[in-house]
Amino acid sequence: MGSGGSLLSFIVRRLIITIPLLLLISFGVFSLVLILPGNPALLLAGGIHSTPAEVAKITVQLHLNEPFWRQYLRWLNGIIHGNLGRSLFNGNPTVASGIAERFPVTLFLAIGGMILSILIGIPAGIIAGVRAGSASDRLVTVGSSLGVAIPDFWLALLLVIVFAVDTHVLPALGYVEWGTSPWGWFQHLLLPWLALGLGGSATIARQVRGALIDTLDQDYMRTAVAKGLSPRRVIGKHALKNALSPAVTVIGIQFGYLLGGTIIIEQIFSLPGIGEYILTAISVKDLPVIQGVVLVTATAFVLINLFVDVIYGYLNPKVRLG
Amino acid sequence: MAGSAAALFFVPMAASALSAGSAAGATPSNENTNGVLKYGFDINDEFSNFDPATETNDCGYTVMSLLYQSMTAPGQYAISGGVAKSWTISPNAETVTFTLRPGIEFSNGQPVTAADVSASLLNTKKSPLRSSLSAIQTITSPNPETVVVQLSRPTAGDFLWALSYIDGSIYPASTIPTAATNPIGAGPYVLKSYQPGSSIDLVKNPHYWDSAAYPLKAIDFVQVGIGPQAVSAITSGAVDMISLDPEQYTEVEHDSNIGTAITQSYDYITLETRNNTAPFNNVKVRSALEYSVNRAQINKVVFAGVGRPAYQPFPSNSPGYNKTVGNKYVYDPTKAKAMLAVAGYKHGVPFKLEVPSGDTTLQRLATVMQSEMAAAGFNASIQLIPPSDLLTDVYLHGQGNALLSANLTNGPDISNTFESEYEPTGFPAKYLGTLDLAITPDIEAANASDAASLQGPLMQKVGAIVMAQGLETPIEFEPSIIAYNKSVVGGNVVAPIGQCRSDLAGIYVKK
Repeated sequence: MGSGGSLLSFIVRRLIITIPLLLLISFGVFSLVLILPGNPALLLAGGIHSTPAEVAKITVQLHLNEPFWRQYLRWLNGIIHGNLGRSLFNGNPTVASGIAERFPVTLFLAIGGMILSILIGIPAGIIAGVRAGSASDRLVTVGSSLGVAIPDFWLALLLVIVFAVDTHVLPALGYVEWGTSPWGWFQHLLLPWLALGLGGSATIARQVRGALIDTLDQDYMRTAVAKGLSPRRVIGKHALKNALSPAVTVIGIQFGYLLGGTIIIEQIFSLPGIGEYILTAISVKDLPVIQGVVLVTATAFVLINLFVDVIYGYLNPKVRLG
Repeated sequence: MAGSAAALFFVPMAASALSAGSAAGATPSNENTNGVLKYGFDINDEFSNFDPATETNDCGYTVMSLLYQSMTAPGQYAISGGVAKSWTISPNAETVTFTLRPGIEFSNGQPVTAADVSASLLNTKKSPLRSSLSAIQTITSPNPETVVVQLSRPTAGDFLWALSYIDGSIYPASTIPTAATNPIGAGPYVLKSYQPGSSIDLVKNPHYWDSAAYPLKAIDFVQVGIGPQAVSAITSGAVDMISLDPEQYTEVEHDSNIGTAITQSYDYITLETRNNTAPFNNVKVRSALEYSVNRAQINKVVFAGVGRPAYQPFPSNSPGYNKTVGNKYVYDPTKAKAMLAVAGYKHGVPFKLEVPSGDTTLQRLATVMQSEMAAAGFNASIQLIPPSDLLTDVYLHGQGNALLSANLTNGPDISNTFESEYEPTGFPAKYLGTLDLAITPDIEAANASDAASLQGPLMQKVGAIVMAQGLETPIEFEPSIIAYNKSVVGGNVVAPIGQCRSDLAGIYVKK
């Protein structure tokens, strides 16, 4: 009970911290976007065919002539009421609908990449950590060094050349909805998952290996072995729980990165996700879309970190004291 | 002035459709009558929405031209009929009387009426992007088959050309509120589904008036970015057809599975100089600049030899081509240096060259030009600038001394090329100081007519002045390149003249 209550208060404390953090993020997002160069009113007024009168009219329509604080409060008021605004282009659909359409693609991409990272990274890290100095450890070390060093966009291009252009085994680009064809969905996401997941697995493997070697070197591990516990039990029950704690943090941060950082992979594979959405918005200065996507992504990142902290707190009660 | 986006492009598609339609009859033995063509298209960067009145990206015309029938249809050198079967222009070039095509219907089976024409044009006119329609004063209909458009200025010719583009798209009056997402037009295809950033699927319009011209049962536009991705898309079979840049052309030209079609366009790369401040406010400096670019070498190195050097604003097959000017401005660094010395710049002219980032062709071109111009005494420092910042930073805030850009013309609507650049109402004319009142009357006179015989001599005169004054430095006429999968695509594949368009008349998918 005491432990559960402590965890609960830990969660509540973190949630309370999250609120001003999100407010700060919203202010930062709004400020950064407003100071970007370029003028959407000029584009909407016809670009090089615009007239000053038309530009002025659209500037007023978009409230771009108002003081910064008023624009921010207007936007914040909308956010609080669940209204992220409307795109300035594309027939003015709501930003929320644009995000809702694209977020699942990015989410599937990130989850798939993350699962692949975990499936490869954790076993590889355990093997290397348990057999430190062996041939398999060296293999994992070299492989993970390569995995960390190789940029995911380069790996993606390589995968496209090998599996799509040369062998026609998998599609080079595009996306198929799960509801349309689960097999098509899987085929179209497999190369992006590999491109994202292999690099991530290298990071996780290195993290797990290092933590496991440190843990196995602790006195209490030697005590466990001296007590006659089987190696499987020593590693599985005692070593891994401690060794995986830092890995959980890495996995959490990586997942947050994947949610907001798959822009290049989405571009290479023509996936209609959040990355493509914000990139297009930036190119035309579609302010509400940029603000909405950055805010949602930042919020997701904060919430994932909160989730990770909770898990970390569960695994390591000492951190709850903070 | 018709300097709207509409007037930016030349559109051969409908003309091809007409010819294909007339030739159509027997189905080729290898034609798959249920064929679906996968067409690579950068939906993210080249498409906004389906509403002609709010479409903010002119490249959307690639898709829009298949959904909507415009009032007129462009041809190689003249306009042909679209929703309007024929028309007459009043002697003062301020009134155009259209006769509508009998029996033409929208994709929902509803007949196209004079009221729809009026509603469409007046609605599209509201868009600041379609400034060609701003000349419309009134639209009347004396009978159901006739539409009379009264213009506020004598620009009937330019207006008719503009109506062959997005500006002239006709749609039912009742669908105006939903046109952005649910387009209804009288074009050869109908929207089946749209996945933003991913795909636009079209199916054949059973009510299209010239159905035989379009054998394809359906067209799936698939998201493909420009650059290397376009090559992997066509070579891996992810798409059946795609438009390529010259850099990518060299990667597929020897691929036995890939066919290519090249059409020389009227679009040209040009160096726009800031003529209202030093050093380019000096006509002698600008004239020297014309001799400082090795266009032939650029064509070879940057455009894989498939473009055409632009020694003047019109290519040799245009009525606006001036034979006297010819290739007068060939690369001559010695002459350019001597001219600069006379102009008071014997130690050369340093200047800042703005180049849109993300456009690999322009970036490569800028690097080659930088080296060529250095030999002629022009020391360019290249500054990359995001395309979205061009308007504000280069035009409004006066950043840089020159800008490398693509001048997307309206092809045979040759007077249109100069409107925004040299007429008093033009945006570049205002901010770059390129206004030249000596040529304004000729441009306006050319706007009154849609006949190449009248526009041609006027534009030849204007072109010569542009070059003599160094008002801009044309570099290269861009090639329009299409790549297609030979085992899938049948019919006579023709690359459209100019960018941001498709030419799919007569194309079919093989069995």
